[in-house]
Amino acid sequence: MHDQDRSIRWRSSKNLVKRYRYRGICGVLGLLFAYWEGYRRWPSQAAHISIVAAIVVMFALALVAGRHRQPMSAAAWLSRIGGTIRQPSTRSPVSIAGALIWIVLVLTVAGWDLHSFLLEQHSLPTLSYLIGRVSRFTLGRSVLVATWLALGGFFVLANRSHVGRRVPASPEPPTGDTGCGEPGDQV
Amino acid sequence: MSLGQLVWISLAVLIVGWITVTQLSSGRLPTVKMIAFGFLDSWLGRAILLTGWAELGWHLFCQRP
Repeated sequence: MHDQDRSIRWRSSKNLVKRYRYRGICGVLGLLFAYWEGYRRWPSQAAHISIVAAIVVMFALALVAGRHRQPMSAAAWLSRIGGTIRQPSTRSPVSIAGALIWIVLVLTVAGWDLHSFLLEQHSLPTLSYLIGRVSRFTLGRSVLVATWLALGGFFVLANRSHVGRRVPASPEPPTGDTGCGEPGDQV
Repeated sequence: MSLGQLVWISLAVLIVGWITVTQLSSGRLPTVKMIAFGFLDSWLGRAILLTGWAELGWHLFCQRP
């Protein structure tokens, strides 16, 4: 019985490694990139080329990871948004109030940033100016780049459906091995 | 502390407070994750978020901040 438990635990940890190996590799590469990027400065050509390269790679990853795995089509998505706007009564009043508060907060931030940008006064810093006071330091720039990459990775990998993926022929074994990995596995 | 800094700190407190409230609402209020996943349901929404992400990166790391 003890050996069986140990075997199950070993298989579970093996499955975890198998599931997250591509995410782990991307994470390590992202951290190395962020560390290297920390030593670049915004006007340098190296900074421009590397940031553009990171953007291109992230879009390519989105295409690779998302092939046949998008939960709904763009038309269905737009139609759902249109339906919610036309008939808000389908949502609970609390949910509508919450969404409105989000909209007000985002518009307030954007409006205040625009106001500060247009007035150009030292006492009214813009959001990017405040962030620039952090990114001028090597550590600050590295941390910001790592956070930016993590956000991009979330946009690439999150909310992928299993449509079009290999479906296991047998029922799911108790160890959690479904025969197909996590969304990041196709990256 | 300047007026601008005071407003930014107030906005940050408001946003963090609202994120906390939505997280504690057990799904009755839309959380940041729910909003993001709403966009990530389709290629179009995902492309919008990734384009905004790319613009943010270019602005913060390649333009004079």
